[in-house]
Amino acid sequence: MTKEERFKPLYQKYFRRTVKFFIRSFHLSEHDAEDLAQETFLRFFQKLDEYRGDAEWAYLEETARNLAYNKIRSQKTIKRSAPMVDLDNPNFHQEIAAPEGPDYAQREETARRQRRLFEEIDRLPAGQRQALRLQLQGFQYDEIAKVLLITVDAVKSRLRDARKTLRDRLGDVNGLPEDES
Amino acid sequence: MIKPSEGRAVEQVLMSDERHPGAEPPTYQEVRAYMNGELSEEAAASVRERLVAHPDLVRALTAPFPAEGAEPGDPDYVSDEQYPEHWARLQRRMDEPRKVVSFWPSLAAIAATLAVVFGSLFWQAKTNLDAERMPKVALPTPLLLPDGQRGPAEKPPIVKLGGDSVLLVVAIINPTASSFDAYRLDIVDAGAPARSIWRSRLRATAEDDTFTILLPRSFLKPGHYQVLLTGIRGSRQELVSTYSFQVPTAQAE
Repeated sequence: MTKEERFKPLYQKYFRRTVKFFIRSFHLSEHDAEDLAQETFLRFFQKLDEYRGDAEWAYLEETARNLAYNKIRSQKTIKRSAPMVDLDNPNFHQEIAAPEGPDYAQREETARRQRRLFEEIDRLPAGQRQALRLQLQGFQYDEIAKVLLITVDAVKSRLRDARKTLRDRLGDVNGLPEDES
Repeated sequence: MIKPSEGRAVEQVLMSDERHPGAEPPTYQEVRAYMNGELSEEAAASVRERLVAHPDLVRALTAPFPAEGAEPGDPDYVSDEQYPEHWARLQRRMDEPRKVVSFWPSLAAIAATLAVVFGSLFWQAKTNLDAERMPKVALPTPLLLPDGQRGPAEKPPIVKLGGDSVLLVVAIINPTASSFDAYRLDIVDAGAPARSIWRSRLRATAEDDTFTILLPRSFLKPGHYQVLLTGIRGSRQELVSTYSFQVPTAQAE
């Protein structure tokens, strides 16, 4: 079987799924996602002879993640005068409207408590702070474990310790994700 | 409960480079070395800290990659009829890096191109400088009040793009909020994904507890925006207020 004969069925099955991976996971435009997917499969084709079976798939995934990572990283600009912060919560495109409910004094008090909460999070020991900040960004236990190179149980333990530390310092800690039951 | 928009706005303060001067995102090679356990404890700690400061890069590492491929008949499947066009595109990509470039003619071409580019940039800079000295029309806009001040049912004010420039006037309402040594303003484009598009230097307020921001008309596109006001006292920073506003589309103006 030639290299192209091996490559063709893999491309047919996975190309558009890879495009959707880039669009859904990284909010890329369809054009950018297709461009990255093309580049992924180009590199995959060039290295195809070096891999067989499951290793082929691992290389395809690794290449896709590498390209996505570099694309996102290159879009970041960290300057002291005008930083560009990527707030990539997919739920952020809600309408910006004045909040309903409590009066001004209560809203100010709520805002003050929230600011203090985030400042106290910043003061947590590194392990607890990193786990909690990733959880606040919407990552699941297994994803946090993968990034911090610890077990899922260690993630849960750090999050419990973080919440306990915050309760000890602040008394009442509303607004943090609860432990999974 | 912390709302996502409030959390994101304060998270910006936590991630600002004044708090985390070493927050340059790690390279992919650094991340791979970190994930493979090839780094020293100190280097690994640095990569970990910088990764956590950039959750979108974390997502590049953790987002689920498609486990199953599409089958014939599935819309995601590239059919035998469609494949030749895809293959042709791939081949064009493969051919691009193989072009042989002659050195001296290319160097001369590059030098000529740079001369043209810098010449035009100089001319454009001079033209811009001349334009900067000329008077401009700035239409008045609604006074921006802190979110929550307008009342529960009122929508964010509309800022229309008339004239050459837009004047945004931001008011500090809460008396305790005007007690900082200095302030910093950020303008956030609240689209998807939301992102910061401008940050001021540290400033003191005017006597009437307001800030005035002069924006070129071309700076804002139709959409939703927020001004973030951060107070600085010594080494501490505190988000004081947020100010939402909308820029309508041309038809809606």
